[in-house]
Amino acid sequence: MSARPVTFRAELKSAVSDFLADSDMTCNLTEEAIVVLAVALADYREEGLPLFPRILICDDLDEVLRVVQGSGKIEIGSGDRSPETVRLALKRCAPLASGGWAIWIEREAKKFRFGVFREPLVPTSIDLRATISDLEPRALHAMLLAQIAPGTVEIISPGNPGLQIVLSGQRGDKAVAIDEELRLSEWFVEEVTDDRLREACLSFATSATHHLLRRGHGALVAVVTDGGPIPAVLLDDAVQLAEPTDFAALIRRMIEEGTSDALAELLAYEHLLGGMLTSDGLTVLDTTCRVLAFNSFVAAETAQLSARALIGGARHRAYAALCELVDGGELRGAFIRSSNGVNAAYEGTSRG
Amino acid sequence: MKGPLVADNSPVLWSARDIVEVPATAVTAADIASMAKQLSPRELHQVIQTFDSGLYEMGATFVWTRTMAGLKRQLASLGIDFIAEMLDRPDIRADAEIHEVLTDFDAVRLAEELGMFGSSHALRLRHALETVTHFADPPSDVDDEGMMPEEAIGTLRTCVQTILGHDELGVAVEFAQFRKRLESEVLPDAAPEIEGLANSPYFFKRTVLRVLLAGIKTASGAQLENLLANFNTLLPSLWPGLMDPDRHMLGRGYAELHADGQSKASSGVRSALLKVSGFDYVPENLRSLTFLEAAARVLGAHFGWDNFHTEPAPMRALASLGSSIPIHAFAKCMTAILCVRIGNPYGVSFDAQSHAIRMLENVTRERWAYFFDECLPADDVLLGELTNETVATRWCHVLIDIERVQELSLKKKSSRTFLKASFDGDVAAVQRLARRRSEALR
Repeated sequence: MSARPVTFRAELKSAVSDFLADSDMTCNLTEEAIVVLAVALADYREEGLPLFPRILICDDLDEVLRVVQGSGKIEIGSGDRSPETVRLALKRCAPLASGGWAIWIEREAKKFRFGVFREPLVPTSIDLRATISDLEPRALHAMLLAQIAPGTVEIISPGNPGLQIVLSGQRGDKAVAIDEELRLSEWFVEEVTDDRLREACLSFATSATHHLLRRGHGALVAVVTDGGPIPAVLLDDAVQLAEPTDFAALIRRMIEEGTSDALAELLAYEHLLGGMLTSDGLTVLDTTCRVLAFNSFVAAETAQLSARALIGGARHRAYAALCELVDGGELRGAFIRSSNGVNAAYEGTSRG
Repeated sequence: MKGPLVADNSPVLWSARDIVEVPATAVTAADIASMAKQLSPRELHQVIQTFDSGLYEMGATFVWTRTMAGLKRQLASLGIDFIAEMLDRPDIRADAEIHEVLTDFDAVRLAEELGMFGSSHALRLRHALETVTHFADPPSDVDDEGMMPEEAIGTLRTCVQTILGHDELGVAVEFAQFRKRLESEVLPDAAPEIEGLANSPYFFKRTVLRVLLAGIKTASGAQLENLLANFNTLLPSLWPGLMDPDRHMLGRGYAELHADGQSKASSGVRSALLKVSGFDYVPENLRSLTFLEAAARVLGAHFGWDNFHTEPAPMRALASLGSSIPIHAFAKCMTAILCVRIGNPYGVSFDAQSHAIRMLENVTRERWAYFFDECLPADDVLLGELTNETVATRWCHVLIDIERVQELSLKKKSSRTFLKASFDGDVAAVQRLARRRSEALR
C-alpha cells in the first residue's frame, strides 16, 4: 500500500479562483499562473540568494502604472497564457526586481507579456501596496503578489484585502501580521506634529522599511517616545548619534525645495539607515522620525524570559528584553525581523 | 465686485468688480491721481509734479510700480500656494516672496481671472505694461520724443481705475470666503452651484478646480475631507468640457500628491480621476515639472523688463532639456517658445530665436495638430498676444516657415479656420479669431 499524498492544491486553486472572481479578473489560465507564482515566491532564490520580487498582474499596464506612479517599464518577454510563461517571467525578471524595481505581467487576449518597472521614484511616494489596497473595489484590473514572510505569499487587489497563502507548516489561524512593519513605521512618525509632513514621513517610512529590512539578515528596533530618554540599558555599547538623524527635516526639505540636492541627501540618509538596521545590535528610533543610536546591545535576564525567547537566539532574547522595557513604559515599541524573515512588533499590553 | 463666486443659496456667476469711475472730464494728472486711494499724499504730490514737469516715463514707471506692488500685495494675501496653482507654476515654492516670483504680466492675468477687473481693463493694463517696459529700456530705434503725455496719462488712468483707486483687500477677502466655503462645507450632489458651474464661463470652471486643487495640496483634517468631497462632486460635471492643458494640470496634481506621500489627498483625487477615466492625463513621473519650470522662466523673461536681453538664457535652458517635451508640459512649453518667436509689438529677442526655432523644428506633425486642436484654444496668454496686429503679423510669418505645420490634419473646424487665416497672412482675421477665442474662455 503506497503512502497517501497530502496536497493543498485543490484548496489553493479554489481560494485563488474566488479571489479572481472578487477582483473581476476571472480566468482559468490566470488562476493556474497565480498558483505557480505563489508557490515559487514562497521561498524564491537565485544562486542560493533569497529574492523578494513584487509582481503586478494587470490588464492595462499603462493605466495601472499611472495610478501607482510606476515608470520606466521594460518588456523582457512574452508567451502564451500558461504556467510556463510566468515561470519564465519570474526566472528572467526576479534578479532585476530589487532596489525599487518590480515585475509586471500584463494579460492580453491569448498571452502574457512581462517585464520590470520602476516603483515610484521619490522616496516619499506612496508605496505600491498601499496604493492598490486603497483603491475602490474593482476600480482597476490589477493585483499584487509578494512574499510577506518565509513561506507566506500575499495577493491583494483593489479594495480586496486578498489572500495570505501559507505554504509553511504554520497553522492557518496564525496568519502573518503583514502590518507589523506598518506599526513600526507608525510609531516612527506618530509625534511629527504637522499633519501633512507626518503623512509624507509615514509614506517614506513604509517604503523604506519594506526595502531596507529585506536587505540584511534581520533587524531589531527600539522606538523611544519623543522627549523620553533612551533607556540606560540600551546605551552601554551603543553608538549614540551626537546629532540625531532627523528624517522629518530631510523630508520637509525635499518637499519644499524639490531640488536634486535635497533628494540626494534624503536617499543618502535612507541608505545609512539601512546600514544601521543591518548592523549588529539594535537601532534606536524616536517617534518624531529621528534615528538616535545604533549598534546597541541589551542584556537579557534569561530567568524572566519565555521558553520561546530562550530558544530563539540572541536577537529574540534581546527582543524579549525590549518588550519588558515597553511594558515598563520606557519604550514606545519594539520590533524584530528575525533572520528567517519573520516580523514581530510589540507596543505593550495596555495598547491596542 | 458684484457677488461672491458662489452665493449662499443660488448660483451666482463670478463677475468683475466695479472699477473706480474716473470721469472723462478728469484729464490732468492731478485730477486722476487724486482718486488714487493707495497713494500717500507725498506720493500723490510727487506723481503730479513729475507729470507736470513732462517727465512722463518717470511718472508712468512710478505709477506702474506702485500699481503692481499694490496688486501683488493683494494677491499675496490669497496665499502663495494658491497663486502657484492658479498660474500652474510648480516652480513657485510655498516660502517664495511674491514680488520675486510673480511677473507683472502674470499678476494682471491672475487678477483678471479672479474678477478684480474686466477684460477691457486687463487689456489696457497689459498695454500700459508694454508701454512702460518699452520706454523704461528703449531699443535703439526708439522714438526720440519718448513717451507721449497721452500715453502716460492713459497709464495713470488705467492704474487708478483698476488698482490704485480701490481700498485694499476687497477681492482677497471675498475670494478667501469662497475658498473657505469650499473647505468648510460639502456640496450636496444636487446643489444648485453644480448646475451653475456647468453654465459658467470656462475660466471660472478652471478657477474653481484650481482653487480645489490648491486646497487639496495644502489642507489637512476636516478641511481636506471637504475639499476632496467637493472635488469628487464637481469634477464629473466639469470634466467633459475641460480642455487638455487643464486636464493635464489635474493629472500632474495627482502625481505630485502621490510623490509627496499624501495618502489621503492622493486617494481622493485618484477616486475622482477614476470616475472620469482621467488617468490618461496623469504623468508616470514628474519629469514634466522640469520643463514647466523652464517654460515659466521663459515667460517670466518675455513679459518682464528688458525682455530682449533676458529671454535668451531661459530659452537656451529650456532647449537644453531636450527635444522631446513631455506631453504634460507641452502646452506651457509651446506658449513659451511661441511667445519668444512672435515677440511683442516692439520686436523680438534675436539671441533667443535660434533656440526657439530649433525646438519648434522638433515638434512632430501630430503634436502640432494637438497644439492647434487642444492647446491653443485654452491658451489665454498666446491668444491675448495675437490680438495685437504687429504680433499677429509676425505669427503668420513664423507659421509659414515651419514645414511640419503645412497640410496639418486638424479635427476642429475652428482650428482649421484659424490656421488657414494664419497661412493666408490674413492678420485681421487672426486677430479677430484670437480675440473671439480668448473671450470664449471668460
